[in-house]
Amino acid sequence: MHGMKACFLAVLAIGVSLHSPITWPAGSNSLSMQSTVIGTCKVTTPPGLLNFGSIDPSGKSNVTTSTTFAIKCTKATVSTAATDDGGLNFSGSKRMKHSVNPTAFLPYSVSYSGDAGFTGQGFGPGAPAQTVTVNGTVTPAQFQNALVTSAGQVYSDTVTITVNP
Amino acid sequence: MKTKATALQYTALASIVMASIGITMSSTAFAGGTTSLTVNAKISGVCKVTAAPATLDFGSIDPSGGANATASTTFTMKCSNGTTSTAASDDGGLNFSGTKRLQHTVAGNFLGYAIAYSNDTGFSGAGFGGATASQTVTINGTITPAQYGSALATTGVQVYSDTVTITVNP
Repeated sequence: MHGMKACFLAVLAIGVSLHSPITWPAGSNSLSMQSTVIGTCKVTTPPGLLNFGSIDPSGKSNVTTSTTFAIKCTKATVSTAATDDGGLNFSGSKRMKHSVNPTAFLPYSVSYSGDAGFTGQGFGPGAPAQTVTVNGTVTPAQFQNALVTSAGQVYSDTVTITVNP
Repeated sequence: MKTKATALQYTALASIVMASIGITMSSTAFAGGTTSLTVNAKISGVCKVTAAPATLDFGSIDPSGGANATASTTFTMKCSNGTTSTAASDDGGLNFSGTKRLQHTVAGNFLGYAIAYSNDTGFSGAGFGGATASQTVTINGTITPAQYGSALATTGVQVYSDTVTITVNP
């Protein structure tokens, strides 16, 4: 993924250098030009807050929430599964960290839907975007013994999501 | 010399501009394929009854007695990890009028009583998981001679009864 991005940058750099005056050698009679358009997807609208709200730890059911973001892809490029970095507090699972007690964590999981299989039509303003849903879940086993959050306290995490390719 | 120095300054300026363009392009390209997601949650501080109380049964009271009739029962509760319980409260029961009252099977006849809770306050919760500690709260019931001395007798299967809804806090 990052290799492709680097390649994209290299192409741009060459494009800039071509703006320098070129002196054609005498006798030249042909010029071959080629360009590669990288098949890639980009986030065009970032996700809102994935907010589980206030969880009653005595509950018996999963607590779920969702948010969305939008992507566009190169024309004819089909998106593949989104990935993420596990967040800032990953240890076996994603975890939110308590804002006051740095050793108190609240594990959770996210899944993505609508991320794979979108056929891009480019990045122009008229090109359609795909809405990807981020589904978050905290299970009773994860929240039932979690340290309480008093007034002004919160559990939080930050996850970096990558859309592919 | 002065002209040359000026030219050098222009060269340096041009380099800075080019460097700035390079940084901007690099940053934009990287951010395109990724996005940042912020995740939030709160855990509420609550106590919940985990084992309901059995009947608070005063049994058969001799109305000629001179001492309080008492009875007790218990329930258990758990609280959020980090939450300390405060006093339990109740709704006064189904027949409250100045005091809690049991009602005779023959409606309209009442037997006043009182209840008090012990060990309801000050329990430090450890959460609701199966292995976490629970607190036993005792309900102490009392009927004084003044309350039962003139109460209508219960015959056969007759009984005085009441239902009280207890709330544990917070």
